Amino acid sequence: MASSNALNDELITGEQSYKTINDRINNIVLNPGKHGVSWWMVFLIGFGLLQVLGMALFWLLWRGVGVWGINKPVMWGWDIINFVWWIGIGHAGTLISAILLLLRQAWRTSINRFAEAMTIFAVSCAGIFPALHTGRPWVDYWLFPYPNVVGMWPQFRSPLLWDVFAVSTYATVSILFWAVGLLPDIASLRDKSRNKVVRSVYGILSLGWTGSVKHWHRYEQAYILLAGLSTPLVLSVHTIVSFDFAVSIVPGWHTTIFPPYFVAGAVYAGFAMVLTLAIPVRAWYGLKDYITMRHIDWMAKVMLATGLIVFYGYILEMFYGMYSGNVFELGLVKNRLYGPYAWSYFMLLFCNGVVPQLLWFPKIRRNLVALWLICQVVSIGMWLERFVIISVSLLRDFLPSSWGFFTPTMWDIGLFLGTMGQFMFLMFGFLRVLPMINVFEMKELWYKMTGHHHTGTSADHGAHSDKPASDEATGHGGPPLLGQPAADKGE
Amino acid sequence: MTNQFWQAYLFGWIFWVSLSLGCTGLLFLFHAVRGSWGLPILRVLEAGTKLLPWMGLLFVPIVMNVLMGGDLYPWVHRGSDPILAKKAFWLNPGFFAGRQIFYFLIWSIWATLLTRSAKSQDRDGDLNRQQFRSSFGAWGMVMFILSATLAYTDWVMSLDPHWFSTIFGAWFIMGNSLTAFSFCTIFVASRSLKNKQPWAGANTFSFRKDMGNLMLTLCMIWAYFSLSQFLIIWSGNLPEEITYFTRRFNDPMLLTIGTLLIFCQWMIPLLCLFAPRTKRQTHLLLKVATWIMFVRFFDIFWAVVPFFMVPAHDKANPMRMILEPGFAISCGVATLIFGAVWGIIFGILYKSENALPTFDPRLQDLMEADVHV
Repeated sequence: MASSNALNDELITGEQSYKTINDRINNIVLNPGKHGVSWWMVFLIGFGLLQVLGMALFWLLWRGVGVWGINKPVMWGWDIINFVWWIGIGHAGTLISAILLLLRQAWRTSINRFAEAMTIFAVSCAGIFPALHTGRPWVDYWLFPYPNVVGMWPQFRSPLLWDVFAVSTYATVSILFWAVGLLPDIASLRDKSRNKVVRSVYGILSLGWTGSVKHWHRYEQAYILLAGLSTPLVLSVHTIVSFDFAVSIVPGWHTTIFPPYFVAGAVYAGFAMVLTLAIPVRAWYGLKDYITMRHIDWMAKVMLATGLIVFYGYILEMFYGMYSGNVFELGLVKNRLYGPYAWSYFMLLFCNGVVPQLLWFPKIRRNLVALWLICQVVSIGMWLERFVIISVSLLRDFLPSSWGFFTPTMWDIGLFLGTMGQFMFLMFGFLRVLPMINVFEMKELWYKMTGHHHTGTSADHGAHSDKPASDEATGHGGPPLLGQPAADKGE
Repeated sequence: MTNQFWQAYLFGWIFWVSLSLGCTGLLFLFHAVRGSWGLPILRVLEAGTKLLPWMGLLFVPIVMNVLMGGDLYPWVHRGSDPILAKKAFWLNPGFFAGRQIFYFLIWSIWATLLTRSAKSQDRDGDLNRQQFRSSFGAWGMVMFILSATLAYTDWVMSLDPHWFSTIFGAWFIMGNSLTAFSFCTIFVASRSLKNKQPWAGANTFSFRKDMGNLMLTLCMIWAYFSLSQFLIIWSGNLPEEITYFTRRFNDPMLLTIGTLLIFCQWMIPLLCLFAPRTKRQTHLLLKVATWIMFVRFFDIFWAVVPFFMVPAHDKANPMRMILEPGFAISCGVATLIFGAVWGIIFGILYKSENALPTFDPRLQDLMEADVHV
């Protein structure tokens, strides 16, 4: 037990009790005065860009995909790049919430809610692109296999179809996982809010949660089950996305390392986005005691590790391109190094290969400004990676007579900025209406860190008694004890 | 005939060097992440790693074969093949030999530094040495994964010099870790069942759970990498790549082994290791680990030996290749002989050190915690 305490000791800092944890997280939602200029700034920028999304969507639907820069031979441009970029970002959330839960990593607790929300919003941005790039989005339902009078079925051997299933499953399970995890906290907000309308909205959303032993029991079972379901999804979604490219024979797409390399890249980009959001938000809302330097250090380490796997992928692509002796593979190497978009390849190596090496130094991992800037570089790098893979590979394929060039149009850029707006708008809207840190899990963690040694003593009793009576009824006076014996058995 | 001797020799060597490299990779990983799972098996990993210079010595005959223009690696005789001419910058005897020296030198030096540091900690109990091993091990991982990828490209992939697959090195590295974990589990669990100390003390529930879960994960990763490679190459159906699978699917024996591997190295271990009972009872975990180690042989056989297939002289299907059963058996015999050599050196290296790291408070914590379960 001593060792596990030593591991936990920096996950919550400062003078804390169950009450402070409760108040400081819930008050962000219940007390509108908590939202300062910074919140309004980001929210309004997001709202503004959301209008750009509306315009870009309207023009696209009105005129068709010709408004984008795609052409022959570059049939996949910013639409697919942005799809892969956004869906990759979502992966960190699932990794944190599901895999780290199964691995019993205590450091997931304060960032999981936040990261899961990010996942859902990122997937919602990602979904826009493939739905629209079909050209006739009003018949997108043809993508689903359903018995119809024309006897038309989708091509089951194509990973593009697997993508339809993978992404929709991913979205569904992520939403379920997030919603189930929110239930106890929503119930707590319901009990604490003084406004009648707010209370009834939270009342409906909490699905009648009372915190009875039965509820907690079912909750723990459902949560572990959903975690088990989500875990293969972390791998499968981006694996299938990588198959979209790899099962073809386009040089630069057809590479067997793609599945693990794409998954690592997704987690890498996702952690960069979690940090991009978490670093400012924890400062603006005074959450430095909950999202501590230890969390940030761990996330930076995960970024470093996954970044190295991605870099390993770049090295393999180049090395085997040359090793193969195949004229098309060699052509790809030349196209990347000396082609018209060579600058994007070198930028990519700089952003994803060189800059993240700074994370080897503990001092830089703990320097928030530097870390935040590195995260921006990584996000740009991961976007460039998809650009280099998708569009630059298509520029020059087998026949020199069919070589071409690609330039994005303002509508490509507009749609991308628009999805960023949607993401910011949803993310900051979420901060306003739901607790961004899992309150009851934080209390459980706090209990594990301190409560063990004082169970039943007056100090512990004191922590309980400074809560309203209704709190006891909803089970918020203490942590969910029911999960406890099961977890201990495993130790 | 002499060529078949060298082919069998190479295969037997590859199986055992893979176990040693598996130990090396896990040693670097353990020091980099400082997981408590590695403490009971640290000495096993170290002894397996210390075998590398010896395995390097055993590779000298192969390097000599390449340098003296033997037939083992087809790229040695380039002929007028235009693709081999383009690959000559990498696949030429001199550079090949140089790379082998480099691999074994850098692995051995790196591992020796880590092992020395752990040994010094045993002697003086200075816990600050962990810091050095942590960063040095992390850099070691980076070095190791890159060099091992290139090494397997040299040793195995270049046996068919037209063929290439970017995941192949990573596939071997993951498979080697699985072999190494199953070997370590067998080592500790079998001694523990005979009530030999200190292994019986180190064989805690948390140790078995770690080993079981790590083997489970690696079986999954093995399946994931294998499926990825298969699906991508099969869908692409390019002439220089698809030969890897057509060779293995056209021969009835290899097709059977390949199909059974899906069950034996993925489904069966998966079902066994999902059950908490397997990890609670030492003898069950020992059985599963032995099974995995046994199946690993067939997996590496399936990956390596078909590169040595010969034309079937079948008029109906001139592309058909066959694997001669007698040759397949001699590959097995070579593995046994190399295994005996590996085992003897391993035993000597292992006995020269303390069976468990002393002065590591985390190990004491683990062993004490188990008493209270």
